[in-house]
Amino acid sequence: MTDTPVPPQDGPRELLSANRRLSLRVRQAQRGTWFPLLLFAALTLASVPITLNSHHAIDCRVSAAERVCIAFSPGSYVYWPLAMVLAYAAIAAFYLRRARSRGVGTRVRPYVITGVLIALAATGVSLWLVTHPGVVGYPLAAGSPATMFLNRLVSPEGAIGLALLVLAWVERNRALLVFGLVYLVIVSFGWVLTLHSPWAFAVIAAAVLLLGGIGFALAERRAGRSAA
Amino acid sequence: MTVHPVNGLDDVVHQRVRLGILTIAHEARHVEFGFLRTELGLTAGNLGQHLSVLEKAGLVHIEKGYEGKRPRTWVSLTPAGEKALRDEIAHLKRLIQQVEQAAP
Repeated sequence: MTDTPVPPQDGPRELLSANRRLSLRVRQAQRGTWFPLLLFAALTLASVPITLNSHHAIDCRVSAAERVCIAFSPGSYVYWPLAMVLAYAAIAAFYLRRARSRGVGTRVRPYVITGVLIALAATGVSLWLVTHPGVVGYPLAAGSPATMFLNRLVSPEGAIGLALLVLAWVERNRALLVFGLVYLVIVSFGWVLTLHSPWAFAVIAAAVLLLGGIGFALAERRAGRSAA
Repeated sequence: MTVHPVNGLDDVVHQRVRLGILTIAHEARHVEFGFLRTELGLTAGNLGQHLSVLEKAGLVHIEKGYEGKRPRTWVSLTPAGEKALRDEIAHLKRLIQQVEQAAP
């Protein structure tokens, strides 16, 4: 009887380590994080003139200290649902094309479906809030931190951030998870800096997305080069 | 009496290249022949042999087709392949654990 030694690369530790390396390579090949970030940055910037041109105050009420109005931009209620649906269609096409060219499958479907659902739900909730004055203390409590937080979370910028968390899960991308959470914090509490300027708020959100998109594009490029 | 984890290893799966194929196919859902060849650093013939062993064991599903005019071969895991990969990784982890516990 002869004893066949196990080749060193077939030891359990080496096999598991090779396994992890291969999993990481597949994930890197599947990722295309920069594309949705840059696309949403462009859409957010493009929304500024639409919001400004159709912006007007409705249902103003006077409290003891101040006069509070519901700001309504009919144009943005048409622009955002349309832009979101088209954007997610473009993202799905981008990921499918990329997967085909790289030779790996893609798991983008949950992100696209959740993104569209969140965008439509957020539009519905925010439309409902402006058409039902008086509900949950709105608009008299409109300046309160809780109302502003809710308002920003159901804004298109908030919907983009929530869907980014789903993309982080789909891509198993910790860096994107951290970015998504930071972005959501900025979106949710950015009103402190831009209370009276909805366009400044959109510009800040777009700038964060743009910087994130550029950062992820550079990181993906570097990872691709080091793997080659 | 406890069964030593080495006894649970599947000879078809317990091999660097074939475990690599299963891992990539699991992560990618379905993977193209060219991607496997590049990542595993194999010749087309060598990879083809490993794939045929895995296919005969019912662990992978191989689909041939065309994309435009280019012939393409796609590999995906069968449910048995998913289970075999899970079992192999569990056995490997148990093996490492036992070696560490036995070490002085």
